[in-house]
Amino acid sequence: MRQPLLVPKLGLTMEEGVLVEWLLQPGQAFAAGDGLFVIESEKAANEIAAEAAGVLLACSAPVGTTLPVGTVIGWWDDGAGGQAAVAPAAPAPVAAAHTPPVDTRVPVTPLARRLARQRGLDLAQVRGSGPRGRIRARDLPAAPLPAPSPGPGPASASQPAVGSLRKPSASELTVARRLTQAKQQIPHFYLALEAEVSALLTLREQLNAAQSGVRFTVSHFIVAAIGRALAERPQANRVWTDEGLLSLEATDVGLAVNAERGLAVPVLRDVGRLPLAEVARAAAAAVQRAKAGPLGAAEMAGGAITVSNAGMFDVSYMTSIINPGQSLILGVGSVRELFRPDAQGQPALRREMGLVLSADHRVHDGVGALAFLQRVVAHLQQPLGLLVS
Amino acid sequence: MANRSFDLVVIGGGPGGYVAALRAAQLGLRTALVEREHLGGICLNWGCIPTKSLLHTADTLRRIRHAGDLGLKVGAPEIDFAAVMRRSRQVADRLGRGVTQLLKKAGVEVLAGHATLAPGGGVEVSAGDGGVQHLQATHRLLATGARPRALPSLPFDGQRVWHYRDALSAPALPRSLLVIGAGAIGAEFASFYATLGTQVTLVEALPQVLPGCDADVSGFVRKAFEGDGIGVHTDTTVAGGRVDADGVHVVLQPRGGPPHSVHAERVLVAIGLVGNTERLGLEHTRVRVEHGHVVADGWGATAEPGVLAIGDLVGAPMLAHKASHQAMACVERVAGLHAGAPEPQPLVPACVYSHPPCAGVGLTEDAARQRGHTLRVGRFALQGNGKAVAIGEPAGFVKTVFDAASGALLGAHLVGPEATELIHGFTLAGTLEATEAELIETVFPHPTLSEAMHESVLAAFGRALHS
Repeated sequence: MRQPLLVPKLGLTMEEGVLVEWLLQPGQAFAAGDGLFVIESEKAANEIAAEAAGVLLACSAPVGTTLPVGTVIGWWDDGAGGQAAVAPAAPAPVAAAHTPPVDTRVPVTPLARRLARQRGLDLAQVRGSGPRGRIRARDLPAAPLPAPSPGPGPASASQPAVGSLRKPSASELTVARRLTQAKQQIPHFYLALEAEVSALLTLREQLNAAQSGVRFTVSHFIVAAIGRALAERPQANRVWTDEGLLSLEATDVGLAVNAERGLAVPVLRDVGRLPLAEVARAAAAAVQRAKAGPLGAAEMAGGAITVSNAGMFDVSYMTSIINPGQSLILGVGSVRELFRPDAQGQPALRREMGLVLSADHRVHDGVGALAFLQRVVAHLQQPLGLLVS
Repeated sequence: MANRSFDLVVIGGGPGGYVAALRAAQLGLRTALVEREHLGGICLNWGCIPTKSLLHTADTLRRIRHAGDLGLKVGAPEIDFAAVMRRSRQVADRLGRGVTQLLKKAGVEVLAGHATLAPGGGVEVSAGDGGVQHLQATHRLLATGARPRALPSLPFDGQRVWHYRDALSAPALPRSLLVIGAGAIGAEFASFYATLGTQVTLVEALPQVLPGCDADVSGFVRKAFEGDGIGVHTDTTVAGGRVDADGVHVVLQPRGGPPHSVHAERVLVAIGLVGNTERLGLEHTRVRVEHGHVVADGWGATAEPGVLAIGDLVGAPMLAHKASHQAMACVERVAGLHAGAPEPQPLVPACVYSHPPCAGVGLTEDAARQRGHTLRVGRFALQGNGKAVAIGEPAGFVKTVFDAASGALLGAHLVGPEATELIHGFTLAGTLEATEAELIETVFPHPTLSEAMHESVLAAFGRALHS
């Protein structure tokens, strides 16, 4: 039975996505959970996995197009009989020889189909301009599409040889696009504060020494502190959408994870209402999943804030770009030991962590964002409260 | 002096403008329409619709005259010319009221008056009583149509030298009529008046009547006109004219021949249309006007952002259905649909309701050859069509033009009964990019005139069954 593939809605604010990559060719079979295609939402490139096993029949949307949620981008056969079922009782021919032409289900006019055959064109590479993306004769290039040349040829000799040029990969393009978009469209402003984390580090050591069930990291404390701050200051837990200012109910916090495939941002759910141990467990599981493979879109959707902790990389302050769809990001630096004058003017050893909060000025004003950041710092400096819900 | 804001203000209530307003209202745009004379425009009031009323009278008269062929004895019909004209006006009025109702139902604000573009996105509406209203609009759509082009040597006077409005409201049937211009308008009036008994002479500067038509169709129509007693002079220009007490003396100049003079009680000048570009306030904009028409792309976009233009105002083909189609594409684009889509290139059929009627869509055979196509041309005469013979109208043919290599339907041309009702079949096929294979596969009902369409396609590929 022929089934459509749709652009999924990957988040509350998602209205459209860019089709970045097809992971299968028409005619290829897949199992449930296999990646079918990559859709770039406002937050990230998401690999969309098959819900059930089947065969990809057609890719009707070309790579690189922006498509509204719900657009049909291709077709697959779920093998449940119907028009696309294989002929019954066929005397088991060599399967490959009887594979139907892969483009049979691309909506295409009879004339365009015939012209494509005459010109040796692959219709999967053509973008249709007719109703419902139907490919018309005018959409076809006059001659077969030239194959991309594998390396720099003599044609590039006109350019000064200052370096080597490489085509960015689909995921690099995605990252480039969304970062450019975020930095250009979101009016960022920045607030920096230091948190004194001696108590936090001591508590963390004691907790990790006292049990072996959960290993607490600094990031867990930060996520928990942000969750509490969001619960206390719900006006910070808002995002800008085209329809208006969206207030979020759950105290969700995104956690930037440096995975092998690039940056992933799993969103931890309602951490403001969880005790630290629960936060740590959820965060550890999410990080593990992010490092193991691509995260599901649902796991990366939502939240107004992300934590990006660069503390392990020896950096004092990190000023980050807000993730599209959110309104805040907290850049976390390394813990520094330094002397500051105490109340009596005597040098006192402190362990400080530099925090830079990037905020969307459409959503937050300076006073509100600073109050929020101060609440985060307060929780980090008095971490015992994080242990209980 | 009210100052109100709209998403879209449409100037002109013809088949371009009123359709634009209706579609805009459907799409949720706050829409106003300004019309200075009457809703429905020329098409409904002084063009397509009232002429079809007159031509139906002529067709009925012709049938009554030939009733004897069908075994009916009927006395000689008597023409009440005033009643013929009155009915034509009633039809136009009735449909005009319909447009008013449609716009009202859709929630379009209709203003009567002359609209001009004002600087800064404004539209100024001057009513007949001297009142002026100011509207503000995000988008301003010009759909002001066109008017007849005058012949310098024979200016319109409404008495002896007519334009189409005069021909549609004549007080009495003229004894003789010289029609200058053998395009659709000239051919239809020539046909109408000749059928009612006027001695008609038809003059055309170009080598064929219906210059835009396929040459075979044009040749067929010319022969039929001449058979009906119409004097046809092609390749002939008007060298001069003089109005006297009995009518008009017109000097005709055939190409390569000596000039000669003809006399007619009335002259109808139908040499083309020129866009209504004046007094629109275009000087406040970057809108360009070339050869009497506003320059706009397939979406109606002009050189001035927020100012759009469609229909006759933007030039040929000057057809009501083209205007309506452009109206929808234009408004849908304004409403945010079709983002990134290429400019529309609709297949626009053209119909002439003369006797015989004809219709065509796509390229003529000559134009297709000039574009370098290798062709397969099918032609099927209506003598071979059962229905045409049964109804006693076997004159005419269906011609189809295909690209030999791809089987693309490049053009289709019909002449004969119901040609104008049949052409949509080929328009649909062409729009859906059917090849000869799909057309041949299609089942046409029997007995109908439409079977001739099927046969023509079969003929193009050497498979005609009934010829």
